[in-house]
Amino acid sequence: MRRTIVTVAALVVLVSPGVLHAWVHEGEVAPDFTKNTLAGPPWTTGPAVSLGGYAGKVVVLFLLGCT
Amino acid sequence: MESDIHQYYDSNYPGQVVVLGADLFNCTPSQLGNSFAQPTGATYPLLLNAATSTGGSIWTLYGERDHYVVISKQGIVRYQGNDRWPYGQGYHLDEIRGCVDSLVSAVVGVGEGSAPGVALRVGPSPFRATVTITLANSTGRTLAARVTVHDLAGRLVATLHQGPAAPGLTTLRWDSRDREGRAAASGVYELRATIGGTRLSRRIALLR
Repeated sequence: MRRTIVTVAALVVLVSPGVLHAWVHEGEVAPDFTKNTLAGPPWTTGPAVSLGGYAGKVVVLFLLGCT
Repeated sequence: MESDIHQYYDSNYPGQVVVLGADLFNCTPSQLGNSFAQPTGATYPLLLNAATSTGGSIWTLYGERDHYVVISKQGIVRYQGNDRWPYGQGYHLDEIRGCVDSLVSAVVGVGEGSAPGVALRVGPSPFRATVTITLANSTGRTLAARVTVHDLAGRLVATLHQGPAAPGLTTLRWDSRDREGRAAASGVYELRATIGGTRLSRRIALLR
């Protein structure tokens, strides 16, 4: 029984997003990234942009999904 | 995002604010265009393959889908909604706008009839318990000053100072309590200061 509880607890910790993902926190330097943009319509892959390219501007990053 | 943030700041603070939409599900261009860009009318940049590690996985760096992060002009994270689970609960427009407002107007005082010699500085914003307000009086003479906090409907929430502001800096603090001593709710508030006839205001965001 005790082993089961420990195993379940370990699994919960392992699948916790906070453990898997070292997400940034307020006050930290925003990690840079480079991604291609969506162009169109017609929809195609557009030019790449980097977060660093927006230095001097306030960036609102919206993490959307596609369902 | 399109009208509330992107178009709003394009109109009010042209060239100062950029909205980026990161597709964490790595859709193809046609999937993303047809399922998101077209229905929402988004004209801000949408980032493809945002959850792939090449070039940095925005998923692992910044958070899950439907979350929001505000990054200052200096590249510092000033707001993130990653703790608001489940999906779809991260869009708190007042908080996002309050944070962005504080960043786009962080250097120049926003006010009516502002004059050389007086300034209002506020920080941090957003804040969780206490915010510091600094009145700068470089006129060389003592001025009458009044500093109040209002909600966005204009109702008085708290009076922080009513009296003289000597030459130099006058530092005040708001402990996020209203006139009755109750904890104010999360949201955006307007700080108003009148210093020697000059009126200054600044929006601040309280996060509980």
